[in-house]
Amino acid sequence: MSQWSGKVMHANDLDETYTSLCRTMTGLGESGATLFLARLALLALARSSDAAAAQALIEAAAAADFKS
Amino acid sequence: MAYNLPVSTESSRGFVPYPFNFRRYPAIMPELREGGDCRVRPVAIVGAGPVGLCAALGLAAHGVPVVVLEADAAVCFGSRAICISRRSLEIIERLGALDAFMQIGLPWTGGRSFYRDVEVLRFSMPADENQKLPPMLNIAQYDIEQILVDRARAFGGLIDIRWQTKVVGIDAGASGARLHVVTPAGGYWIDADWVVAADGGRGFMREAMGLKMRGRRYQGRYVIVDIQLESDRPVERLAYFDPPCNRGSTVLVHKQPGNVWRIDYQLRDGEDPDAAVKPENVLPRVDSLLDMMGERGAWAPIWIGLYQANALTLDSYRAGRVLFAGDSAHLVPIFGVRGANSGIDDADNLAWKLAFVVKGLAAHSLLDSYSTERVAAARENLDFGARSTEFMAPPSFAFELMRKAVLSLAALHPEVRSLINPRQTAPITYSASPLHVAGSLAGAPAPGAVLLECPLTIVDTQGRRDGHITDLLLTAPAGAFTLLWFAATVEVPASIDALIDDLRARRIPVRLVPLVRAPAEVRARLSGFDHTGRLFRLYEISGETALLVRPDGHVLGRWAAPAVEQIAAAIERVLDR
Repeated sequence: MSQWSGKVMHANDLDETYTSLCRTMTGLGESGATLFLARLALLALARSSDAAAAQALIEAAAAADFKS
Repeated sequence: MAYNLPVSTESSRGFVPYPFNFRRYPAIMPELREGGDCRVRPVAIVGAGPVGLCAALGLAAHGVPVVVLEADAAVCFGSRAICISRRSLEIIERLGALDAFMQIGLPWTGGRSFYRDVEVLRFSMPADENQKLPPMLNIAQYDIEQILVDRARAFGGLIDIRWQTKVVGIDAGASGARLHVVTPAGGYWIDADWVVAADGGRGFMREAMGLKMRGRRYQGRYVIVDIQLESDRPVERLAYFDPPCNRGSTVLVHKQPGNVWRIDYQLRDGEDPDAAVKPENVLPRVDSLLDMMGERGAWAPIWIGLYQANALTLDSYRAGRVLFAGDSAHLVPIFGVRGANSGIDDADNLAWKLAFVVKGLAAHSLLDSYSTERVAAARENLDFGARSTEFMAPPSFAFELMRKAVLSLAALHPEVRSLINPRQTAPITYSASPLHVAGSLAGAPAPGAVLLECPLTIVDTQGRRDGHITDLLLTAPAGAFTLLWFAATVEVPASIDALIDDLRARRIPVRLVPLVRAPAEVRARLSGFDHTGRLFRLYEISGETALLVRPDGHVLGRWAAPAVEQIAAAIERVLDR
């Protein structure tokens, strides 16, 4: 699997986005977080340029489990 | 201060002392009149920690006498601040103590983070060819304080440190304050026109003034262990997330001078803090950590403590004649090393302003800008500190889950690695300072920012020498405004000379430094030239430019030369007279 070589968010923006995401999930609680993450994943995937790009994201997220 | 009292330092379990001679200083009773110190002081500083001592040295450099009231008999004990930033070192250099810091301290530039047994981040702090000082220096707080105490002696009677002198009461009034103190030799009171409260997070002053910090307290706790271990491992920040030696925990490791190592590890959910700090529970974890790291040498514990992160600040650091600085004003989480460093920055911002006010050069309102600027700085530090803490000690299931996502992706996906970066302290820009006048030119460094370090050749009556731009702030007179004059020749217009003469006649310390591209001839006036060709580029100089710098190294304004009126107006704005 290849590394993402396109445009990425600036580190500071990513940091703020990450915190916002965590706080939103905290507010929803553990029971609501799974559905929330599913929606978020779908929205992000739908914004991919094409099916291959979306498939690459799915595979990357799944592959991260190889160590855990 | 956020650390609890040392939990274990007993020698019975093989504990060893810090490699430091804690000299005890006696209490001194001054000459009294009706129960009070005979002399009214312009400034009394409560607390001889790094912040109080830096404020004392800064004021003394301006010729302002200070009395420092310290409850303890010696410099601090136990594990406190260890990482001093480049910005702090610049301040320390202006206070005349840099050499001792560099002799003792261990410089470093980066670190590594691991998830389980995989390296997931290698970070480095800015350390380019323009820098004079390392981005970070590890040095124990007892060394920091001792160096500053020793440095205070160079100011003779200007700095009067009263050890074992505990402030137990304050009568604050409109024109000063009376501090009631107790010592083993008896109690007395002392009057001061201004008081700097630098007595730490659990200090007396904030409580006595009825002031409360606001913000967040985090639940996650860390055990902090200082150990003695001989190892030639390089100096870097090591972070282990969920390491094989201590599953489910997060461990930080820092090398300190004198074969001392600082180890911090997070308590697991539900772990009893009282039990967790007992040596029989701590020492095996240290053993397994060192084993994982491949450290096979003999080691011994020095100190065990418990830490819980706070992100709190007062809303204002000025309460009439009392000014709050350091941990007595704000408590910043340890992650990102913004505690002592932000306190030293407070002291640097405050010292010149208070000196100007005490000497009658500036209106009292200048001290309001201390509060405005440093509260804004604290909020920035707290924001970064909070994010760092939320990663190092996740406050909810969401932060925990997302951290696991980041760590498990980071080995293969560099775009998420910045989230593991410890968000280390960086110089603060006072972008909304009340001291700024409108009309500055665009360009770096912008008003409110600190000078960008860069080599240059310094030329004065002694000849030419290699230096850096921050070296210009070390030249006489101490604590001066600096007018950097980027131009084609070292000659300045007569109107600028007249302005400088006028300011000096009013006892306002100021230095003028013409900076040119080509080698400058040796003459009476201090000047510099850009022998690397990088200085003019870094400062985005296109035409003749005047850059006015405050005594604390922050830029006040930037104008197309000659700008005599704008420079004069900017200084008048600071003095507000």
